[in-house]
Amino acid sequence: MLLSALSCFILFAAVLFLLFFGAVWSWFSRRRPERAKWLGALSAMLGCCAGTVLALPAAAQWVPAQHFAFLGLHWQIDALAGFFMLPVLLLGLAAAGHSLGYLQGHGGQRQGTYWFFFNLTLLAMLLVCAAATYIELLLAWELMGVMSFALVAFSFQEQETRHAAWVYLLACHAGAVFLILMFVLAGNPNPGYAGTAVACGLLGFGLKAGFPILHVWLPEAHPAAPAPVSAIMSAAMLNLGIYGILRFLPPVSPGLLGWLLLGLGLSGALLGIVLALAQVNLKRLLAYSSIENMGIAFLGLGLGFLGLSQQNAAMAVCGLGGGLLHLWNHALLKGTLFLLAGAVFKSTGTLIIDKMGGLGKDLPVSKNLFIANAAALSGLPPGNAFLSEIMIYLAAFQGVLSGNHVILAAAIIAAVGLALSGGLAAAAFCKASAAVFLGAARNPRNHEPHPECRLMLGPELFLSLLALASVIFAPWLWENILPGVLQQSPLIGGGSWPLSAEHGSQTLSAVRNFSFAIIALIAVLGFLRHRQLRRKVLDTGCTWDCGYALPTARMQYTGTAFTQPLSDYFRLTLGRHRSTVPVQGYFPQEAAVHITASDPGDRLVWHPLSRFTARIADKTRRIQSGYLHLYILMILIALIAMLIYAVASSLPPAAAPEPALPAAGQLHQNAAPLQP
Amino acid sequence: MNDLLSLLLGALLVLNLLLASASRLRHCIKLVAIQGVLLGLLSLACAQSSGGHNWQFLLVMILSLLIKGGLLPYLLLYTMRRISVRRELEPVVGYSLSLVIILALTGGAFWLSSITPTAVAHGASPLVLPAALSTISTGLFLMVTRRKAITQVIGFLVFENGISIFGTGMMIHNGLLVELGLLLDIFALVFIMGLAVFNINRSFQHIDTHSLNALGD
Amino acid sequence: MPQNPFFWWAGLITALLLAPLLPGVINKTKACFVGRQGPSLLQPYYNLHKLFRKDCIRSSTSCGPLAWAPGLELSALLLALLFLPYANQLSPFAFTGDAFLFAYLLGLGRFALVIGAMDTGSSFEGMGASREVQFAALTEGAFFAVIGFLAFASRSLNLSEMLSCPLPANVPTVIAAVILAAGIAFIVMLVENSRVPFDDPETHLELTMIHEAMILDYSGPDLGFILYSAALKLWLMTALVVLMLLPGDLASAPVLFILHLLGVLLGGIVIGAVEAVSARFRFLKLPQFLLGALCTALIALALTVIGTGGGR
Repeated sequence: MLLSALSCFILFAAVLFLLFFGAVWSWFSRRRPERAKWLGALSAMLGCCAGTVLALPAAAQWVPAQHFAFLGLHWQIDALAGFFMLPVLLLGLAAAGHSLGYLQGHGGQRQGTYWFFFNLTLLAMLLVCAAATYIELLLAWELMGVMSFALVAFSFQEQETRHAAWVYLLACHAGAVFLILMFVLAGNPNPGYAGTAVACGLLGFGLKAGFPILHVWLPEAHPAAPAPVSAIMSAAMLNLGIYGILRFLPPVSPGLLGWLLLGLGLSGALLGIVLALAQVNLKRLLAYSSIENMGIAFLGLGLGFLGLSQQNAAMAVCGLGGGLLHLWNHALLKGTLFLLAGAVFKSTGTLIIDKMGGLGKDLPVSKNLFIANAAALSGLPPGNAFLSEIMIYLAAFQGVLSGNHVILAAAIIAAVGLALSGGLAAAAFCKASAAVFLGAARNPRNHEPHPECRLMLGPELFLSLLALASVIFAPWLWENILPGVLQQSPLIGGGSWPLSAEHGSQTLSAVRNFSFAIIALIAVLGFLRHRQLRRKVLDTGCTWDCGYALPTARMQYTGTAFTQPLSDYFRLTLGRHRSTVPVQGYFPQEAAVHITASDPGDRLVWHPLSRFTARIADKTRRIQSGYLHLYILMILIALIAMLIYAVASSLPPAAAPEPALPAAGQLHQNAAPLQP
Repeated sequence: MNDLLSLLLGALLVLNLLLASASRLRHCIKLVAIQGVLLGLLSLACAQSSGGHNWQFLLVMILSLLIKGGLLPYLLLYTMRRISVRRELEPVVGYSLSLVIILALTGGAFWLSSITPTAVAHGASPLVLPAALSTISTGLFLMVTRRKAITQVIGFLVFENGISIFGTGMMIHNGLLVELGLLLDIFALVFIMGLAVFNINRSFQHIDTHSLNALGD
Repeated sequence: MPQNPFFWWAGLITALLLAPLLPGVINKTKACFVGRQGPSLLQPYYNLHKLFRKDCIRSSTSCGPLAWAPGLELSALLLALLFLPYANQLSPFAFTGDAFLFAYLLGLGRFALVIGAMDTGSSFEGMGASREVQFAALTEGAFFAVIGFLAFASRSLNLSEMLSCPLPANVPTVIAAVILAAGIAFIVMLVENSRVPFDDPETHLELTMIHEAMILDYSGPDLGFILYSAALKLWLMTALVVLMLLPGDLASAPVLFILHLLGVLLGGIVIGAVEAVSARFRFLKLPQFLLGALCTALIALALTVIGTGGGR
C-alpha cells in the first residue's frame, strides 16, 4: 500500500517533471529548431508513457485511489481520474508523433514555441484530471485554456485563425468565470443558491464539453488549430467538461440532471450532425461531428441519471456506462480522423472538401484508415462506437419497458433521435470520405504527390489499433472498470444501491463476437471473390457513366451536392446561405450551388447578444466624458449610494427584511464566544 | 368487437397525420370525407359494444355518413370548383414541421387522457379521449396554419369531427340531440362559408386570408 | 410454445436458397397485371448464374472500395439473416439488443454500397448515393420506432422474441397497433429495398433511380454479389413484416413454417401489385412521407401503451 502510494507519487512527479522541463527546455532552445523539436517530442512522449503507467492501474483499479500533496496543492488519482487521463495520454502520445511529421517545414523559432505550449497543454489537462479540490481544478482549468489558446493561434498570420483563437479564449474565460461562480455559490450554506450553483456548473463545464448553443467555439477553433492539436482538443479536452460535471458538480437530484442532459444531448446530437452535413471544411465537419458525439454521450448519461432517479438499475447502468464508453470510443476515432485530416492538409494544402477528390490513390493507407474510422464513428457494427451506442439504445429501451409513461415517451424519442443521428452521421461521413479520397481529383495538383509520411501514419495506425482493441476488450472494460469509475462520481456513487455490470455485459460480448464474425466473413468472401476472379480476364476501363465516353472530374458529385437534399430539407439553406448559378439554355455552360450553413447558435443567440451588448456599450460611452470633475462626482455619488444601502440594510430585520444581513449578524454572534 | 373500435380510432389518429401532410386541396377534402365515414362506422362500433339505444346510434351513423361523408365534402368540392381556387394549400408552417407538431399534439392528447381519472376517460375504449383530443387539436392547427379561407372551413370540420368522436365514443346521455345540433350547425356553416368565399372571390379574385388583413383598418 | 431449432435452420436455408425467387415473383406479378407473360420465375437464378461465370471490368478511377463493397454488403446481410425467428422459432444466435445490431448491419451494407458508388466518380452514381443516404437516414428513425413498438408489445429487447411472441390478449388495442406497425414496417421494407413508390428499379432513366444508379459500374461476379444481396435483403425485410403479423401461438412449428414461407411469397405478390398499380412518388415528397411513417409508428406504440393501461 505504502509502496503503491510512493510509486504513484514518484510517477506523478516524473510526468510533471518531464512535461514541464521538456516544455521549458525546448522553449529555450527554440533558436535551434531541430533540437527543440526532438526535445519537445521526446519529453511529451516519455511523459505520456509514464502517465499511462500511472493512469492505467488507477483506472483499472489495480491500485487503490491515491491522495497526495504536491507543490502545496492536493491531488488525487482514482479510477475516475485515471479513466479520463487515459485518452489524454494516448492521444498526447499519438499527437506528439504526428506533430513531428505535421510540423515539417516549419522552421525558425516556431518549433520551440509549439512544443512549449503543446507540452504545457498536456500537462494542464492531466492536472485537471488529478485535481482534488476546487483550487487545483480552477488553476489547472485556466492553465489549460490559456495554453491551448496559444496552440489554436499557432498560425496566427491568418486572419481567420486569429478570430477563432479569440473566440476560443473568450469561451474559455467565460467558462472559468462560471466555474468560479459555481464554487463560490456551492460553498454558500444558504440552500437557495444550490440551483444557481448547478446552473453555473453546467454552463461552465458545458462550454468546454460542447453543449448545444454553447458550442460556438468548437467549429471555429478546430479548423484553425494544427491537426494534432485539434485531435487532442476534440478527443480529450471535450471529455474534461464531462469529467468536471461528474466530479465537481454540486449535489443535484439525478432526475433533474437526467432530464437536462437528455434534452441537451438529443438537441446536441441532432444539431451537430445536421450542421456537419452541410460543411465544406473537412475539419469543421469533424468538429460538428464532435458536438454530435458529445450529444450522444450526454444522451447516455441523461438516460442513466433518469434510471437512477427511477431506481431502474438496468437503465442506469447501461446509460451511464454507455455514455462513458462512448467518450472513450469517440476519443480514439475522432483523434484518428483529425490526424488524418492533418495528413490530407499536408498533402493538398487545403481543407475545402469540394476542391479535393481522388486522394485515395496518393494516400492509400490513409484512405483505408479514414473510411474505416468514419464508418466506425457513424456507429456501424465492427467499429467500437457501435458498442457504446447499443448500450445507450439498451438504456433507452429499458426506459420504454419501464412502465412510466413520461419516461417511455422521452426514451422512445431519445432512441429515435439517436437512430436519426446515426443515419445522418453515416451520410456526413460518406460525404467526407467520398469527396476527399474517392473519385478523381477535382483540382489539378500543382505538385507531385509525395508518399505518405511515416511519422504521421504511425500514430494514426496506433490509434486505429487501439480502437480495434477496445472492441476486443469492451466486455472486460464494462465489467471491471466502468462500475468502479462510475462509483467515484459523487453524483452517482454513494447511492443507496450498488451499480453492477451484469446488465449489458452479455450483449457487449455477443456484439464483440459478431463484430469479429463480420470481419471473418468479409475476409472469406474476399478470398472467394479473389479466387473466382483469378481465372478471369480482369479489365479496366473508364467509368461507364451511362454511355458518356468523356467524363471529366468536374462532372462528379461534389460533397456539397451530395448532401444538398438533406441540408435543404433541414432548412439550412434559407436566404443568403445558398447561392446558385442556375442552369440556363439548352447547352448550359455553367451551373453551381454553394451552401454555407451558418450556425444557429451563432445566428440566434450570440450575434443578437453581442449586438445588444454593443448597443449598451455605445449608450454608456457618453458617461466617459473625459472631465476629471465628472469622474470625481460619479465616485462621490457611488459612495453615497453605497453608504445609504449599508445603513438601510443594517437596520433591524423588521425594517429591512434582507436575508443576507441577519445571517451576517448571526455570524458575529457565533464568532464572539470563540474569541476568549 | 372492441378490435373494430380500436382500429377505427387508430385510423382516425393516422388520418390526422395525413391531414397535416396533405398538400392538395382536393386530397384534403377527400380525407375529411373519409373521416366522416369513419365517424359513422365509429358510432356503429360503439353501438355494438354498448348494446343499448341501438336506433339512436344507427340514426347518427346514417346521418353522419350522409352529411359528413357525402354532402359536406361535395359542397366543399363544388365551392372549390366554382371559385377555381389553386390546388395547393399554401401552409404557413411547412409540412414536415406540421407533422412533428401534430405528433406532439397527439402525444399531449395521450398524456392528458392518461392523467384523467379512468372512470371519466374510458367511454367505449381508452382510445376515445386521445383520438378526440388529437382530432380537435388538428382541426385548430389546420385553421391556424393554412392560408386559404376554404382550408379554414376544412379545419373547422375536422375540429367538429373531433367533438363528435368524443360524443360518440363517450356514449353521452342524450348524445343524439347534441349530435344533431352539431350537424345542423356545421351544415349551416359550410353553406354560409360557400356563399361568403364565393363572394369574396368575386370581389377580390383570390381567397388568401392574409390579404384580407389589409381590410382591417 | 415448443421450440424446434430444426425449423429455424430450415427457415434460414430456405431464405438463402429461395431469396432470388422473390424478385422473380414480383416481376411475374407485374407482368400479369399488365397482361404480359413476363420472364420466368427462375430468371433471377439464371441471371446470377450467368454473372458468376462472367469476366469483370473495373473503372480506372476506382481506388479500391469498388472491389470490396459487394463482399462487405453481402456479409453484413448474411449476418443479419441470423437474427430473424424463422417459423416463429427463436434464433439460436439471439441476444438482448440484437434488434439494434440487425438495424445497424443493414446500415453497414448501405455504407459499403454508397462508398463503392462514390469510388467510381460517376455523376449518376453520386446522385444515387446521395439519395440513398438521405432516405436511409430518415427511414432509420421509422424503423427504430417500429422496434420500439415491438419491444413494448413483447416486453423484450430481442428480435426473436419480439417477432415470435403471441399477441398479448389482455391489451384491447393491440390488433390495431400491430396492423399499423406492420404497415409502417412494410413501408420501411419498400424504402430499404428501393421498390416503387419510392424508387423505380426498372425505369430506363438513370436520373430517376436510387439503388440501380449506385451499381452501374459493377460487372460479373461483383454484380452477382450485389444482386444476391439485394434479393436477400428483400427476403429479410418481407419476412420481418410477415413475422410481425404471425402470432407465435397460432399453430405448430411445421404449419408456421409453411405459413411463413407462403407469407413471404405473398408479400412478393403484394409488392408486385403495388408496383403495377402505383407510380413513383416525387423525391421531394419522400422525406415528408418517411417522417409521417415515423410518426405513425410512434402512434402505434402509443396505442399499445394506452391499451396496456396501468403502470403509470
